[in-house]
Amino acid sequence: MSAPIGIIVAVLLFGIGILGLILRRDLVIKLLALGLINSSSILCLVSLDRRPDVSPPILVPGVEFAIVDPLPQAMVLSAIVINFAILALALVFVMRLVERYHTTDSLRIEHEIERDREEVAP
Amino acid sequence: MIIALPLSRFVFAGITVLAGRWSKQLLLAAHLLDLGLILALILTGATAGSPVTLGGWGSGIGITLAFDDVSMTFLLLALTLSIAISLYVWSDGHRPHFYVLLHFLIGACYALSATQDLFNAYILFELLTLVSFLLVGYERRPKQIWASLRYMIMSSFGMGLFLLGVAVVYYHTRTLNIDHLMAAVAGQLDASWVRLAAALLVAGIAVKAGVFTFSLWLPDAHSRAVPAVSALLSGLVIKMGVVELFRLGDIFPLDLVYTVLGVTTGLIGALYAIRSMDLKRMLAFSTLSQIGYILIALGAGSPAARLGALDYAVAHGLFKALLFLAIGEIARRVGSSNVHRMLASGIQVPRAARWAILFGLLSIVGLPPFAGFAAKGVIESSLHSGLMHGLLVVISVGTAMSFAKFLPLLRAVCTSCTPRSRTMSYIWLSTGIASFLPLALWGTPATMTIVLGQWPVYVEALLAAALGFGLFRFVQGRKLVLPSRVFRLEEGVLVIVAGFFAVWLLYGLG
Amino acid sequence: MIRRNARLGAVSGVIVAAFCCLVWFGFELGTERSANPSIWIEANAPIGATNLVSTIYLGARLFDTVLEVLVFAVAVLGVRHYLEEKARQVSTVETLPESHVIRVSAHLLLPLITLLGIYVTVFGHLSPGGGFSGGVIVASGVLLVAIALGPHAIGQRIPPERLEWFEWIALLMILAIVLIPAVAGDPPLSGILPPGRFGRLYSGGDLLPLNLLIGAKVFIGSWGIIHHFLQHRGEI
Repeated sequence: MSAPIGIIVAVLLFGIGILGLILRRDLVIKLLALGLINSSSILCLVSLDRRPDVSPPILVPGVEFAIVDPLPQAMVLSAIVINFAILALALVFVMRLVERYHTTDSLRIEHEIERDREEVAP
Repeated sequence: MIIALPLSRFVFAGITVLAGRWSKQLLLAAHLLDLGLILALILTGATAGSPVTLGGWGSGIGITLAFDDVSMTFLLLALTLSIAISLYVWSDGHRPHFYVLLHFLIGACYALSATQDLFNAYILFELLTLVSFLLVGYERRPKQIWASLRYMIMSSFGMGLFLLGVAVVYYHTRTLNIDHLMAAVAGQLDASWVRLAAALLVAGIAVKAGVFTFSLWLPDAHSRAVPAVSALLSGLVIKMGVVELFRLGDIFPLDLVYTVLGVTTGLIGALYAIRSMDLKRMLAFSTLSQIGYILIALGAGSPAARLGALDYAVAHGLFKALLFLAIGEIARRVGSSNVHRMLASGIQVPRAARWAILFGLLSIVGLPPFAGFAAKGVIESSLHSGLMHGLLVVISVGTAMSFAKFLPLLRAVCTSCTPRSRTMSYIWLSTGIASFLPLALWGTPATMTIVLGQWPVYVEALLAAALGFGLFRFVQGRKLVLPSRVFRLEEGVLVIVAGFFAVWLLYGLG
Repeated sequence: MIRRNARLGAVSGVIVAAFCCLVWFGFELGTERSANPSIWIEANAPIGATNLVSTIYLGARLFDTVLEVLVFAVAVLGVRHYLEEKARQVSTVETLPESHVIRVSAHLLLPLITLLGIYVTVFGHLSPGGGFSGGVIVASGVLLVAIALGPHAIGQRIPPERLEWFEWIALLMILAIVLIPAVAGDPPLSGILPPGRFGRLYSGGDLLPLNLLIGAKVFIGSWGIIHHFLQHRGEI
């Protein structure tokens, strides 16, 4: 029952992440929720081939044993780095917005931006 | 060998970071190299060949690239637009950072056109999004940063859905290769997991491809960016989502899904475009609407319709980029992209920009003999259902209505305002638009002679344009109230999930 | 405002709950297609690495890994571009010097952490790890120094511009390794070094150099991000 548990929890976390993204107004919490969403898809990938009595895909010379499917692990490696990069840049953007408007409240930032009459520079 | 195309672009990007002083020369060299490589590709007949797995591994193990009609079309479109944008920004003093991002963007587009692997597509989309996100917020102004941030969040969410879809697919088929998937899924198209996977994958890609309910970040992101960036985004980056929709359409039976999505996007995009008085925002809405055309063509399913979808994708890339570049230049001079303010300021439109707008306008409205007419003709002649045909005409009228605002801009002309490289950029794109029809005639003679031989196509085009312009006069004074709160982040994400449900339902019905 | 939020909350709650149920039931858990790891073991045979995952992400799917490294590089570029405007040399917060215990421990731990990171990178083709993990471990050591000893401690040791230069050199070398086989007539990404003996350190063809280069790149990139944040805020 291991594979299903991982996937079930992953989808649950995905749902919680969506709710967090929508319902919370603080920008940093929105980014946390986004991170949760991405992490949950990674969790889903990792738990795709979890069976009892299998080992990680590291071979030992001369010994035969059952190993887990290595491809999702490789996918997850890439996905983690990419999510890290996205979060880092999103945080930098949030930082600039917060410095400008002195609030992390997304609604107030939107109001302020609407009010600023910024036009296309010559 | 063909992998050298995107990889060489990345090499150029890396060199540009280290040797920023020679950015422009490197840009030039990169284009020449790309031109050479693509010509070599075409001449050695690699396009007719079967998929190539990188590194010589087996196709179930490595990443596969294929150079079929879809790939070649978008490779050429990417190169064309890359040249156009490079010409446009040649005279601006951009920092090396800008050129680095350009190289990355074009390289990613090359690779995305050709890839046959779902996870490779995921990574390439993330690279593309990251680079576009940096380019949209390039001038670091708060409006751009906010638009860019919303783009990033919604896009990342969409890719999260896509990754879940990949997990579902992998769980049941243990492969990521598109050809293998086609074979594996073929027997069980009604299975519940296939339906779920298709819905997740399509919903994820639709966020990037400019489908209405999914891409609510698009109007703000495309309209607030620097003109060169907007042109690239609307002309090229959106098409990469469409490429993936092509591939997904090969695996799953998505005809009804694409048709319904296409019709909604086309109509609603046109409505918003008619109402919007900010020209750049209107162009962004119009992009949404035109993607509707492509989706309708994809949904029709026949090979002729597929050709029509490809034609329209290329044509739209060309004329939308041209319009964004020209309008962007004028908006820069005036200081605003609101059409009333432009006209009130008495600005003189540079002659080159005026011709550019004229070409783009005639093309997007669908008047012969330009690109838009040719592509629309191919699509219309491949649709057999009267209802779809009617809907397409309605969208055409809507397009003409929304673009009628441009007509007053064509009046005042000043002769020597544009830097020469920008003029060259306009000429390059306009030549592309004008030569679209002859090229299409040469490339696919059978289809084109059918299209050109039917007089109803001409009549429809002229009537739709005239009707559109006339109707615009009529509605010009009236207020049209459309929900504008949907473009915020929260509603946008919710609508994406709702869209996922819609796709799921439509899949079941189709 | 509260009323609108409650409505949004209710609608989202319903939609998200329906989404989760749809995915749970649509997944058809338990009817998976069984994996066949032997295809990977066979694919690994000419390479001779022990860590199968590294055979995949540095061998069969090297293109994905290169792209991912590029994503990371673009992120570093982006952080630099957005934070480099206002560099504050003087911090706005008065920090108390850390206690003696922390400072001494940081000095002691840094070499150990670095050694661990290098070990994980170099042995990435034999046991779990590789360039990404190793690079992050070394970067975390640097972060420890920044927190414990103050931001100036890092800047003294390593000149920033040089280091970023190295990052891109590493990237170009990775791309070179990828492209060189094409010049030699083999399909690209098929590796340039011969495989050694299975299970020994020298095995896996060019997996080891690739791990080292990726580790260097990740370390310098993470260090660059930390450095720019520090410069921008003037403090940690």
